[in-house]
Amino acid sequence: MLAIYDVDGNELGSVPLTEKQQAVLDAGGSIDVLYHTPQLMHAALGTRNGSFSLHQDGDRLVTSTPAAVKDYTQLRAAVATLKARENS
Amino acid sequence: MPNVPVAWGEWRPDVATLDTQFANDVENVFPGSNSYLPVPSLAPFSDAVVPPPPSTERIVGLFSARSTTGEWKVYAGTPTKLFTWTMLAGWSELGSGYHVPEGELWSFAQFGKWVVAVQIGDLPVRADVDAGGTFATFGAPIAHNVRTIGDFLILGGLASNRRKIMWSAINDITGWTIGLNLCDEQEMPDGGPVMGLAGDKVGFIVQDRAVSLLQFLPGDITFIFSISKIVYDRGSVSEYGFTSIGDNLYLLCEDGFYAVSQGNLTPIGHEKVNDWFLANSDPGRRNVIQAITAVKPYIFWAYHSSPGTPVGYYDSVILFNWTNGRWARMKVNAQMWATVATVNLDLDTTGSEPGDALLDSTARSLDSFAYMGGRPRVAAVDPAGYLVDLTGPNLQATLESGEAHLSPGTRAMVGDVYPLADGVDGVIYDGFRERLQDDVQWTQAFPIEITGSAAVYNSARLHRFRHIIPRDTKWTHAQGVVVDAQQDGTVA
Repeated sequence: MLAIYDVDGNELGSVPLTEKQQAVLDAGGSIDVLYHTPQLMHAALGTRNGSFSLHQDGDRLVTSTPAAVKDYTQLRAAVATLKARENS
Repeated sequence: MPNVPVAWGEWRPDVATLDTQFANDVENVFPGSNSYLPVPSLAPFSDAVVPPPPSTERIVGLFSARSTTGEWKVYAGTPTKLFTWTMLAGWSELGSGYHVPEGELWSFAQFGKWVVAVQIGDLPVRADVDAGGTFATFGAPIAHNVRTIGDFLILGGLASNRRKIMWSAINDITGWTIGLNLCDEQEMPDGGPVMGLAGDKVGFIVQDRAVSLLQFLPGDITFIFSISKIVYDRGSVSEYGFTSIGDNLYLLCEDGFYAVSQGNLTPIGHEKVNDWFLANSDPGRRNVIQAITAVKPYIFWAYHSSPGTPVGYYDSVILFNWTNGRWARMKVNAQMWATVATVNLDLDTTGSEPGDALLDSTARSLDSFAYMGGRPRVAAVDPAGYLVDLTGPNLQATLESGEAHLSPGTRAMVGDVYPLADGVDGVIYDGFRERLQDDVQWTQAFPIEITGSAAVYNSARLHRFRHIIPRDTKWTHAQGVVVDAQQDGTVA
C-alpha cells in the first residue's frame, strides 16, 4: 500500500499498486485507478464507483483529483469494516 | 446371387441396431460423414522423457503457449514440478515444491506474455513465455482452475469458496484487490462447485450442476460482467471434461454428453453413446476425464475404461465430430492430452538440434511433427513420458456392422464379403445366430484375398460383420462391406 498525497502535500489515503502500474509510474507516466463497490457488498454498501489519476512526484504518489481519492478511501474503509464484521 | 451392401453406419451403441444402418462398434477410427478414417498411433517427437529421470512422477498437466514473436513453448507438470520443453534442451525444470492433490490436474492459461499454472494445492504461479525463467507467484488467490476471457484472467473454484470465481484487474494479472481496476469476485448461489471456465467473447462458467454465461460489460464499472444461468441441473462431472469451440460449449454431464450453443442445451450423446460410455468408463475417475479440442473438427474425451485400468494414464478416448454429430472411440494410452505446437526443427541445418545433425538419420521420419513447427495438433505425454502426437503408423482399426436379416424370413448363405476400404490388408469375421435369443457366434478370421473379398461361406438367419484393419496398414476410408448373400432355406 502506497500513500497518496494531493498537490499540497496532504495525505489522502493509500492504494495497492500492481506491478504494471508501478512500472508505468517508474517510467514517469501517470495511471488511472478505477474503483467500485465489490459486487457481493452491493446490498450493504450500495453501488459506488469512480476513478482517480496518480503520478509519481519524487518518492510520493500524487493525485490531481483528491475528491475521488477521498471517496475511494471511504469506500475501502467501509469494505474493511464489513469484512471484519463478516469474519467475526 | 444378390450383393447386399452393409455400411459401417453411424456408431450408436445405445440404440437397437438390428436391421438398421447403425454400426455396433468402431474402434481406432475417426468418424467421417459416410466413412470412417484411420487414426494414427502416437509417435514421439522428442527424445527426452518428462519428468527427467530419476523422477518417476506422473504427468498431470500439459499445455502450449505462444511467445510474442509467435514461437510455441510446451509446458508440463507433475504433482510437484513444472517443466518446459524445447527441441534443443529437452525438458527443463521451471518450478518445484508444488502439491497437486490426487484427483486434480494443473490448469493452464496464457495471458499476454505470461503462462499461468493453477491447481488447488498452492498459490497460482506464472512464467514469462518470452523471456523464459521460472514460475513464481503473482498475487492471485488459490483456486482450482484458470481461464483467460477477454482482458481478464479468471480463476474458478476458489479455495475459500468453490462456488466463487474471481477475475483480475483489467489487463493486469497482478491486480487481485477486489474493487480496484475492475477486479472482483462473484459467488454462484447454487449449482455446486465451479468446475471451470470456457469460451472467450462469450464465457461459460461451468459448475457441477449448472452452466452460466459470462459476458463483459464494457464501461460498466458496477457489474463488469453479466452472469446469467442458462443450464439448470446439469453441469460438468470433471474440472477438465469440457471445452469450447467458438461460442459453443461441449461438456460431459452425469448422464452423458451435451452441447451448449446460444443458450440452448443440446444432447449430443443421447441414444447414441451415453449409456455405452457410462457403462464402459470408470465412475470413480470421471472427475479427471479430460476434453481436448483437436485441430480438425473433433473433440476428444480421454477417460479410464474401467476401475481396473492403471492409475497413471488414460487408456481410452471417445471422439466426437462436431460437424456431423458422429462418434467413434480409440484405445490409446496417454498420461495427459493437449493441443500442442512446437518450434520446427530445421531440415537442412547442421546445427546443434539433437537428432538433426544427419538428415538421413532414422531418428524421426521426414513428415514428423518435429519438422512442422507452429502447427498445433493433438499431442500427449505417453505412459513412458515421451511427448507424442498422432502421426505414427495407423492403429489397428475395428469396424463392426449392426446385425441384419440378409434374407428376411429365411437363413442367408453368405459367400464372399467384399470390404469397401482401400486398405490392402485385413480380415473379416462373420457374427451369426439363428435366433435373437441365441448368443452371437463368431467365425474364424477370413483374410481378404487377391480378389479383394474374404471367402466366408457361412449360413445363418442373422449376420453381422467385423472388419479388422491391421496396425500399420495404409488406408484412407472404410465404408462397409458388400455381402454376397443368398436365400438358404428356413430355420426350422
